[in-house]
Amino acid sequence: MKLLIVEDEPKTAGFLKQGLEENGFSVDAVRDGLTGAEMIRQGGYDLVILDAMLPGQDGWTLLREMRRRRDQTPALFLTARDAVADRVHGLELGADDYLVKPFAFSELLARIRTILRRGPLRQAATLVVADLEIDVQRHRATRAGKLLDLTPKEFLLLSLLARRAGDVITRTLIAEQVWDINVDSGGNVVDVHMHRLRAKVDDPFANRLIHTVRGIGYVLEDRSGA
Amino acid sequence: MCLKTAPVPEPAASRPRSTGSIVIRLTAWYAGSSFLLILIATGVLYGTVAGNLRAQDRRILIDTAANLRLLLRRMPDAPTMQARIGRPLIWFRLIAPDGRVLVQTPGMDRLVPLAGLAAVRQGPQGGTVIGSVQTRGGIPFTILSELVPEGSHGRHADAPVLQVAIDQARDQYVLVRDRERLLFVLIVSLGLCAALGYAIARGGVRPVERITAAARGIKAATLHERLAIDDLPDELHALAENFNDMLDRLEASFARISQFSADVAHELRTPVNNLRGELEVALGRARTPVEYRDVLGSALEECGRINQIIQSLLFLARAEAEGGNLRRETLDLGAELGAIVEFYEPAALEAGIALERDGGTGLTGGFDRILLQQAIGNLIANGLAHTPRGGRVIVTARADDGAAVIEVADTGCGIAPAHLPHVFDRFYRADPSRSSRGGNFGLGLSVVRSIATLHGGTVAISSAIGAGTVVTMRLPLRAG
Repeated sequence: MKLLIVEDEPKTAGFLKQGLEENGFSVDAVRDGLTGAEMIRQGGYDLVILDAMLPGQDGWTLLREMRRRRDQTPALFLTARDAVADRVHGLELGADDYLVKPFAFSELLARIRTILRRGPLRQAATLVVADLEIDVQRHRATRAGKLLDLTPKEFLLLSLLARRAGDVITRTLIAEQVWDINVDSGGNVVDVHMHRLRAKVDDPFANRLIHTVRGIGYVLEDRSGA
Repeated sequence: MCLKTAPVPEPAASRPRSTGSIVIRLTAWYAGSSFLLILIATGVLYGTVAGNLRAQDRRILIDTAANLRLLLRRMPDAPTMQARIGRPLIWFRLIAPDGRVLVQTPGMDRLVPLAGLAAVRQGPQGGTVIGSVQTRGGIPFTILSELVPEGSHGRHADAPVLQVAIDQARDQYVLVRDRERLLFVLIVSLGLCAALGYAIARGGVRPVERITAAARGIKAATLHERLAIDDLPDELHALAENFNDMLDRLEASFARISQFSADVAHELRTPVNNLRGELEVALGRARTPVEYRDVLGSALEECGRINQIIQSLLFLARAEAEGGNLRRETLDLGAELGAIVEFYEPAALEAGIALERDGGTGLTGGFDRILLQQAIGNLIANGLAHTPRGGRVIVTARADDGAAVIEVADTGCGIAPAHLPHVFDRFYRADPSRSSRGGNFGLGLSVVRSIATLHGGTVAISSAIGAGTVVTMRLPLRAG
């Protein structure tokens, strides 16, 4: 997968490039809108990450020109402005998604994967990570063959982590996806939920699957082999 | 990110067209109207003087003629008559029908030409004609001519004509002098009227200029200054008062903004300082990857905290500036409260606090779901943070007079009355030592109030030390 980053702030461009490359993407980064437009015209990118304010040609103009040429390369907007009007503007121009700075890198990664997948997430009937098996249809989760006694929310939480196994999931996303709750003060509360889930999923077993990524959130993956 | 310089609009282009100077217009009106009055007055005066002089001359002529008629009968020789008439500048002559001068003031024929004889002869008997003649030397005379009936002469065509002339040069001289004087007076008064009018207009406009100067002098640093109202005329009093009121409001919001900026800077200083310190210390010497990982994680947490402050501040600023931009949907308050309580329940259990919900089922209204969750979440988090183990936090909802009343009550430590009026202010913390630990930035309640206001509702707080605190939100029920 080849991505293009059009971002004039060198530090931002730097960590985006590094982070995305470390997650298996091939990444080009340019500093200004005109160069960006030129690179896009040459084609070959699976996704373009655009800063809204750019020297030369701003991100919105760049995107408008792209869409006028019927270039449907997916585009993800990054901007420091989160007014609703801006958001709507970006999406109307044909952006596929919109992230407001500061954003969590894991959030960006998740959004990029969603856009590139362009379809339902892994909708497999059964999710398997190491000895953890989740039967999505029947709302049953087992570990090493033993049935886990989970509340409905805990089951949803575990499914979310398993479906995105290997990805760091932020606390905000967890609160949104599992409880359908959007609160600023929810971080600690999510920790308590995770604590209770771990007590059931991980504590009785030697191989821990749920890991805390400090300052970001949680990831479910089998690290026993690493 | 790049900064764009927008073209600054030309100030002159957008400036509304001025309607001219009030002072100049007032001056013109004052000067014009007073000059007109003076002009009329002097005109009338001059006319009266001239008329009087003329009337006086006529009277003298008629009187003199009458005297002469009497004298003619008795001693018709010129020197005697001249002596009897006893006036200088008066001439007379008696002209026979054939044009011979019978008697005359010596030298009159050199001065006054024979004129007006035909008119008087054609007029009625005893008629008198008064006219003006110019001497050969250019001296104006008023001349009276009348027929003198002489005894048996029945036909007045045969009667001699008596002419009495009065030298008008003196009168003319007086009138010319008067005219010159009046012209002088007029010119001077025109100047005076203009000057006075200008002075009056300036005097009238001076308070406006003072207001303008004062307004121009007020800058951010001198926003506390006010216009002196007492010595202003009534008409400008209201204007100045309104201006001062506006300054009051501006000063208040300016102070609020300054305080706010200072608070923001101060609040951000702590987490930024943590961040910086941690990173500096970590980089101070070589460490194991685990240690680095730990520091980086901690730094990330600090970033999250800063981000949260910024988010809240942006939300508050936007809510204040833009007002309602709600995405209302019809919500069942019971279900919403249930979901929120379910989310917080484990945290409450962990803290040894009973989190309970009461009522609200079937109570529907149009609310912005995310904001409602935010508000109630903040209140519950506050309640949990300030309630000791073994206490309770109760969330209730009920309908009351077209509004949803949502209450979050705790059995916590309570808030002292002195702090209560300020708890909704940004960054206000009843306990200064309890800084930003546990995600409490002193913004939670401000956000709650802002959300209530956005919904057209209110929020109130009551508390008793040691007994607990109740926060009551009243949101009007509206179909979403």
